[in-house]
Amino acid sequence: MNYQTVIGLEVHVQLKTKSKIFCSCPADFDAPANTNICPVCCGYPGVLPVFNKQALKLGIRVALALSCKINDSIYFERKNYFYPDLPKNYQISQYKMPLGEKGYLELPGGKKIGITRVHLEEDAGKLIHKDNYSLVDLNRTGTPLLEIVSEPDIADTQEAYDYLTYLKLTLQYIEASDCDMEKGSLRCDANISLKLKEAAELGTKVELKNMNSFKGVRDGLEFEEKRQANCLETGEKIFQETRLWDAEKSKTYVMRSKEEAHDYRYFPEPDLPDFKVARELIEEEKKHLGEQPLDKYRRFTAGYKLSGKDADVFVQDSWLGKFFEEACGHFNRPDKIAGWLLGPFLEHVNERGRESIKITPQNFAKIIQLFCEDKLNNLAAKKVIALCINTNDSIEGIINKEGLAQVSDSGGLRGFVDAALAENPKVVEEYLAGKEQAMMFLVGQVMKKSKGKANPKVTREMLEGKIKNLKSDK
Amino acid sequence: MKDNSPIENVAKLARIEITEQEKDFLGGQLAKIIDYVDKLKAVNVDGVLPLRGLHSDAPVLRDDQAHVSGLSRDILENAPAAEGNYFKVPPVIE
Repeated sequence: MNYQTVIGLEVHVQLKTKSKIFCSCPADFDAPANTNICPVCCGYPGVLPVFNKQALKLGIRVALALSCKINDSIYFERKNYFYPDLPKNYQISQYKMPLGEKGYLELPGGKKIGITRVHLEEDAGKLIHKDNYSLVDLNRTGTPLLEIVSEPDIADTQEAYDYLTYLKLTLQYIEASDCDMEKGSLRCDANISLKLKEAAELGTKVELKNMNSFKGVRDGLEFEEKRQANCLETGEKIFQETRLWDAEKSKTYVMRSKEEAHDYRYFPEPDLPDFKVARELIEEEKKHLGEQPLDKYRRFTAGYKLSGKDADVFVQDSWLGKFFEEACGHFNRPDKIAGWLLGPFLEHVNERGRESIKITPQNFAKIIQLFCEDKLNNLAAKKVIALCINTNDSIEGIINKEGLAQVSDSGGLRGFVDAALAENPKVVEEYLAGKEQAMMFLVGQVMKKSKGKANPKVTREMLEGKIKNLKSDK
Repeated sequence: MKDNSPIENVAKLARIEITEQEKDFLGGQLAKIIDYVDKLKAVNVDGVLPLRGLHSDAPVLRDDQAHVSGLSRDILENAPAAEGNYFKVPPVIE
């Protein structure tokens, strides 16, 4: 049968603030357990929460970046439930009046994924499970979170992956969050259902949790997609339930099902007033938006004429993207600059570590320019890059010192060409007999004799010319 | 027949175990409270905006400055059980 997958994602990101959302404790939860706690985040009686301005500003910035409508006035509500990682027995969150609504995130292919809502809330603590008891660390309690809920607009697992990738990039570009899934500053839950292609109504949805990486999200959704399709084929009932992804076993399993629906008894948080979202604040945050990842992607593909794959690398790695643009400013051959950056340059970066890279984009551009002008051959250019990537020494200096300048004039090459021909009469015969690879061997010989400095194109032309002469002499 | 479901629901949400006897006793009290509050239903509130507080015009925002409270030890000592730097609680089953 022909099924349509329907996916919606719910993403929580930790906002990049110094302090927690409603108290002054540091928002750094890597500190020793329970050192960043106070009576406010521990839910002591009589304390009052005070809203962190920076959390509001970053929330506004994200809402703007996702083209949301920002509500004029917002308020917080209490979401009531009991769990040992929640000392107040309620989470201060937003329910009826979120910070932002009705936005979208556009993907490189042009599809817009709707954003239902963006709301502020506080994080809970962390539990460590032991054999017959649990330990609680409340450092994370009260850290500002932004919950970003998408519409069920995502049509397949790859699109879910792309959505997450671009959402993460967007948040990183505007410096709202680190979005490090391993550290927990980005978490993602998913809703997935299947329906017949032509059906108007959605199928029964399953909530998927416990995905610890973007790949985990894609793999978990893929598994669930197949499982549900199989259920539909065999007539097995799909239950509305929460399933957990087990990355090791590569399957989902039912989380102990709750006997009844959640009853969070939301009500307005009486300890916090309504907050008018000042127009000035919104205008101020607009200034922090800058170029969005998708704009950059389009500029790199349309402007620099890079392939989507190459553009993606530069969009995802701002440092590399900036290096590329600066290098192009000094030598306007984006195709060559990109090729050399993503090839030999990146190899060194990955080997030696980013912090060790000293070469300026200007000097890098110069090497590529010398290569394009036939003043350095491929091998020599690679060697120059290897030699000055950690020093940023003068390019000319290195070329002179190492004797790497390409020999392109026939006068400089004649001796090597003649010697190669004289020493390899058999290979010459083979070439004359039509064996093309024989030429490659001869070029290689000249290259070796010239210590890598020969211009391969000129060398080849000279060899061909000489052999032709030999032939006519015979 | 007396309906004990509201008090059972509340007890469950609060994770409190109550006896049948307590259900009757507390259930009766809860019913009275609900009846009393239900009087509000008679009031016509069409066109009346909800009022959540009286200070909505001057929201107090805090600058994002962090400092360590230094109360960590005191708070841990206040807990019924602790282990090292952690609060210790009964096992939590996922």
